[in-house]
Amino acid sequence: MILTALALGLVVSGETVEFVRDVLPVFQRACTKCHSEAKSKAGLRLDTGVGVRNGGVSGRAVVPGHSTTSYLLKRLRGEGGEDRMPSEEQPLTEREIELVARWIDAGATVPKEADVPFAPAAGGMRRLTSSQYRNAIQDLLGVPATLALEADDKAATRFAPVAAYKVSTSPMGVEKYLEAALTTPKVVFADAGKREELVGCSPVGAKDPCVARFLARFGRRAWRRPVAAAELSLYIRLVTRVAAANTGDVWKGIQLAVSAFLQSPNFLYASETGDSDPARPGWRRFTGYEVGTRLSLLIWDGLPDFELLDAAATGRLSTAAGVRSEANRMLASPRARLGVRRFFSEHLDLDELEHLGKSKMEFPQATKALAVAMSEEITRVLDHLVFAKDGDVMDFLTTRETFVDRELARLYGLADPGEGFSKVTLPEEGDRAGFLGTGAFLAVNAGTTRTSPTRRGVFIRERLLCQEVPPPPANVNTDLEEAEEKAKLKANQTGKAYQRAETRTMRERLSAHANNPTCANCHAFFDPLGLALEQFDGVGAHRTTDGGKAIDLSATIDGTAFTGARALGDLLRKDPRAAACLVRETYQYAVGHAPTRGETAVMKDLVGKFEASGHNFKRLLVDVVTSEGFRYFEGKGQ
Amino acid sequence: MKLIGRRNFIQGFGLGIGAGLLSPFARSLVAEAQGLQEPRRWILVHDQLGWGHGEKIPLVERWLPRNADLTVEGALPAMFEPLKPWASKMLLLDYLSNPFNPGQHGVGWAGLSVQGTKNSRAPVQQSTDVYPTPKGISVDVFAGDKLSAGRPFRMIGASTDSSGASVDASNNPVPYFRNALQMFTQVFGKVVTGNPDEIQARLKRRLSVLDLAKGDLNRMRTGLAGAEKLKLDQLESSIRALEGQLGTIASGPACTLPGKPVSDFDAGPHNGALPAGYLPAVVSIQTTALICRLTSVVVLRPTPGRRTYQKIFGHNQDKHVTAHADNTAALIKIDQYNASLLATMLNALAQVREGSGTMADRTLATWLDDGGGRHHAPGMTHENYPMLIVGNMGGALKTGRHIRWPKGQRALSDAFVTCLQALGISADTFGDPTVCKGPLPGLT
Repeated sequence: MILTALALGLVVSGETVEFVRDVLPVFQRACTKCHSEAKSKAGLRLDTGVGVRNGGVSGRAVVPGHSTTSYLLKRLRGEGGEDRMPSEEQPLTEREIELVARWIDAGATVPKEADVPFAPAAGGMRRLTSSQYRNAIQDLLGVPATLALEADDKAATRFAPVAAYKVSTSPMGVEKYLEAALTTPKVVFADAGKREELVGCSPVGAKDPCVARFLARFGRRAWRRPVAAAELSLYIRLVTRVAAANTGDVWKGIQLAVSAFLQSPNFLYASETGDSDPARPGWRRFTGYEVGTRLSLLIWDGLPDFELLDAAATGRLSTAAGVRSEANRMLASPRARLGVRRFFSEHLDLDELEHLGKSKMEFPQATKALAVAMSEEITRVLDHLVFAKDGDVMDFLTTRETFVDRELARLYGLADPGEGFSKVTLPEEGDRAGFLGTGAFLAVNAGTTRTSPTRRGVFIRERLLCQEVPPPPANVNTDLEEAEEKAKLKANQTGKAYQRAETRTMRERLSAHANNPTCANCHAFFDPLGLALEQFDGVGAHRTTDGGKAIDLSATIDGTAFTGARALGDLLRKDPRAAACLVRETYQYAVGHAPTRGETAVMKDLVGKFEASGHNFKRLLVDVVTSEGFRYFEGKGQ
Repeated sequence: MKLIGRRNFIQGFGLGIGAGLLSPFARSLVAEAQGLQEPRRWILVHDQLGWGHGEKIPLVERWLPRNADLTVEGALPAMFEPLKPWASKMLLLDYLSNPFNPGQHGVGWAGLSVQGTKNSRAPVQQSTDVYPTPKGISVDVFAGDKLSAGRPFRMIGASTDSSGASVDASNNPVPYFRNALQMFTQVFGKVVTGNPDEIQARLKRRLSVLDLAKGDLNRMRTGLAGAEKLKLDQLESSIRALEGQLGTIASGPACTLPGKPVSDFDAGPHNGALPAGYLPAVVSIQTTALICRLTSVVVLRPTPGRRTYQKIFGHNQDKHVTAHADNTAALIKIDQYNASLLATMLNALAQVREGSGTMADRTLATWLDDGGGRHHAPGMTHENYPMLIVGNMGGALKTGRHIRWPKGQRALSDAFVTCLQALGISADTFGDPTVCKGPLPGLT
């Protein structure tokens, strides 16, 4: 009997059950195909102890000491009216289930994740995002790019700097870059004053030394590294050739050389090859110039200045102290507002406001100008918290200090502030405060004619708490409006009465989710959060009724009951998961990938520092860029 | 997230404004000047949701003429009204079957490929449409590979939604344009305008810049491996593709570009009203591409699955809903609108001299529906896929007639073979060879 049990890898009764030795192999056989880092269905991971303890969208998977009330055990046994798990593998044997139960009853202890040593993630090559490209052109030429490059850099993932590591460039993309590279310098070179200011001299011919000096300087900034002599000679040759073909007009030659610098992959792509660090054998360290590029793309959303390039040249960016000093300098520059603005635009979906589509019938006030103002409000609030106050950035969830213009004030029911934006304090007794009360959040996360508690709830779970929300099943119609249209049509055909949607509150309409077992499990995770925000309509205006009835704003989040938007903001403000989530988002945006398992220790360290700094966002950026995760990459194959 | 894109708000379109000179592609022009290839063109209008009727009423074959001789006054049914001047060049074929039908709205990939899994249970009304995979090369791409040899595009397709229809020889879907501005840029963007010297100078500038970029790329690639190298390989192939396109441009007989669309007129996949300017814009681009010999085959999928005709003739429903509502008057208007698009293309080609005649003399137009003649009515059998052919290819086809084949005798693929042969392509069969019986008799 003992021999059989050992052969099966099972422990015998009375012996301590260990997670890694005994339980994990069972999960690995039967569960991790769907519940692991690669694919965490229902937000649940069973490939790590912490994952099991964290649970998923259905809440806690295990209740330590109580196997009979643990959800995991119910699913493994097929109890409670839900399908037995695993659905795609052989069910667990009675012995295996008993083993899991004993582990839970004994306290469900798991090893700590912090034990995982830091291992740098893979490096790569990234293309400038469309925003970085735009800013880089402005940095170099002092004029905006003539073509808007509608880059596909958000196609793969919502953070453009993450997608930047994945995108490739089509012939059409090359053509668009080419047109921008040719036409933008034309604007500068058509103006005698502008071109002399750019070039820094008035060359008498292609061989004038000032031509080579300009090209070397321009190229160094554009490529974010010195241009090698052999490379430079090719560009000088182009100037000579074009000047000769244009009756000696050297400006024509310089103009085309500038275009060529902008079309070069050295400009469009940031290649990261790294060097070796004697102190860190086996890892690759980003070179000084590569770190300089990473810093400027993150903090300025544009190109390095010459001071940063000089820091790279002298090796100062090869140490954490050097990086810290440069990062602090950069954050003190007004250009840092561009970088911080871009991060929050992507983190909070502000770009969606550029093409906000609302029904003119339902929301006549939803003009283009209002959408622009909504985005500007968030930018100003964060700008105020991060730069002016240099304070706790998590206050953005609760602050009553905000910035409104005339249209936004009208939407919020505030007094007319006159022309432009003004700082205002929202009323203490009002329902509106913090990000959850802004038009930007409320209007983007809503339908064209109505609110969407589901979208609002999912946004809070995914974006503000970094929790995974599984996508809806493929065969389910998630469009309430379409479903209603069909219901209306059907009612029309059958002659039966149809209760119009407008006479039901959103809570009543969404009861379809709560009453359907297929939907209920996931929707209970996010719908209630959105239902607590129903005092704001689909464009963010305050209201007290829905479908002619009073609105019920009560809800619970992970077991805690609350009422309304401000209470939810307060709860999130105090929730350590929200601060940890902002750290995670910032890190992902900065390094261009989601944190890997090897970066767990870095993340933990950053979260700790962020808490200790009183959630200072500038300090967070400095801590991110000085972390090993930002400065090193995997040395495999090098 | 479902938002109404900003493109939906953009209005207005200026055909003819800002027209420029187009410098066509040297290779095909030289070949044609030397008489090495006789240019033949194919316009394929691939409709969807049935040449319709309603859901509940008995089948109304609205395409049926009142006289088998289409040239007789009053013979043409209302849906073909805009094509009336072309009656003597028309062939209306009736009762062609297409057994590869998985659903009730249309056959998707099997519409132009005429192969795949046969629907052995016909007649049947299934509850869902499933278009899982491409079904083998489609007839438009097959013809394009032959007719457009040496031209920049083997086929230029435009659609109003995302339903797939064209497939290449490797069984990959061939995308259609769904955005007028993008289509304009991709079809004509590589073409420079101006006098020949200026064209040459501009070309040279572009090629110089690309040449330097290629050199930089090669130096950058040294020592790279894996994904990074692959990225630069892709960039290089994109640069080379653009160089190739620029390099083939030479001065030659000019043709006139349509005005650049002033907006994107994005056709999908949104719901809502189809922008009124979208189809006129893409038809104009397709026609110009034929005239300028950028391609020899164009495909138009003019009927959107889920967009309304509100902005076109004030009808606030899509064709699907219209068919279910048995709104015959509106269905006829939709078909007439599509017929007018085809007429626009043919009329423009008839204005361009070619040899002793016009371009229209060497152009075949084929209009069919991937759902056949019915919109999932009870008893949908997929037995009748009516087809309208316009153009006699210099007298090769005996036109001006309506022909009804005995039920179940001839297949859609037989009609495709007929079209291919009329276009000078040697093909005895197309699609599933067990279904295709070869060209339809008595048409030539």
